Amino acid sequence: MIASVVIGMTVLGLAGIHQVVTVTVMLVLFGTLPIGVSDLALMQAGLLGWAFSSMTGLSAVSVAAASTMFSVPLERIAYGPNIRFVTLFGLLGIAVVTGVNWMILQ
Amino acid sequence: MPGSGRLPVDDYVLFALWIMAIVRIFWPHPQLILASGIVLLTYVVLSFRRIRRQLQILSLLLALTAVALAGWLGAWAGLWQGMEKAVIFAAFFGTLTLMRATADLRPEIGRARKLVEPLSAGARTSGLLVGTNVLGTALVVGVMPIFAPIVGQDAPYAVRKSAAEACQRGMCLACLWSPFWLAMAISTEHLPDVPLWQIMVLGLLLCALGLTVAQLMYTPDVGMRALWQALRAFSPVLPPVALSAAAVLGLKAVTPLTTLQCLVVGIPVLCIGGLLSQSIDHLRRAASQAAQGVGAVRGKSRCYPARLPWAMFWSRPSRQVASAIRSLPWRRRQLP
Repeated sequence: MIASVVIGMTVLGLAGIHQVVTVTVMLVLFGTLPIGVSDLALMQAGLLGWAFSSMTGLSAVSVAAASTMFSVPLERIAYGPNIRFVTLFGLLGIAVVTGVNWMILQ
Repeated sequence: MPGSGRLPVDDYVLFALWIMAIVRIFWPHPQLILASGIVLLTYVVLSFRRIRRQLQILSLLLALTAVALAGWLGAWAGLWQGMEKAVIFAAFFGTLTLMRATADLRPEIGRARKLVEPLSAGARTSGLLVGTNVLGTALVVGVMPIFAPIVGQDAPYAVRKSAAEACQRGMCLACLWSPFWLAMAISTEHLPDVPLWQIMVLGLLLCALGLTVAQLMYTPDVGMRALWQALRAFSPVLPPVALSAAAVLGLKAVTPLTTLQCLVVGIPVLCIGGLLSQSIDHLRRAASQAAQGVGAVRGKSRCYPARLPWAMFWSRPSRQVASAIRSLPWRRRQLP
């Protein structure tokens, strides 16, 4: 479920859906379901998803700002090498948050 | 076009949007909010034909999905609310361009550029990663117009692209723990039982892990000493940036404004003050450059204001979905 939040937000961000929308749906949906995820882990998963959506999302303010300020086409920044970083750090981040959730629930 | 004299009509529309959005923050009169929505819609229509075809398709897909969703949920009013809400983002770009124009004329940026020039590409990337991460905690996207002039708009494309990507990595990782990001505000709204210190500690640890991963992935040859040298090269910009951050945080502390609104309102005042302290001519030049810079929003990111109303529209259906989920019969097991 933690991975669903992070990956879902990131993929929808890549498709152009703003993270304000995805984080609202994800936190309410998974915060309501009895799925064995602590609030702390769920919130951190949402923040991870937000970070990745900001880094690679087509509707993210930060991508548009970076594009304007550095004179680089918007989609080159969104769909550039940072996708590799998002993938690798995403996996690590999900593992860390899952570990924290496991410790909380023990 | 920069340097081509007369600006296109849509640049004037964008400028009007910026002014309206600032006035709206202090005087949120329904007529003004409505008018600003109409101006944004005008801008979207005017600018649509000039954006690239792929982005036209993306904007159309988002718009069609939003319209379909509005029809399905009966949330037609949400479409217009999305337009009105998106005005602040268009205004934010006006502030960013003024900030960028000011930075270009400030002596601190010139000094930092001279110190950054001799650095290796790796050390510069590494310094940008950490620098934007630290300053992005409080200034959020406001770090971009500070670091971009240091890299220089005449730098080769590959250098600018690499710098933009490093800034993105550094700045976006700050949202994992920073209480000044919108992400934290929305998260705490939905999960109010999580103590702030817990999420900040966990977020800081993840942020440190992210910086380490980024460092190992993109600049593995840069050691701590080279990183320290790179950070020292950015030191000339520290006093004005610290002042900007303090102003934004102070404004946020004493007003009910969001961080984005504080940036939109507070930064122009600091920019004008800083330029006037140099000379009235500096202010004139920055104003002229900022006007051309609004054209830069048109040229490079015009698609952003054109897409945002549709992207923001979704916030209303998402809240409807949220309410529907909350009203479902099951209750979540109480967890720590």
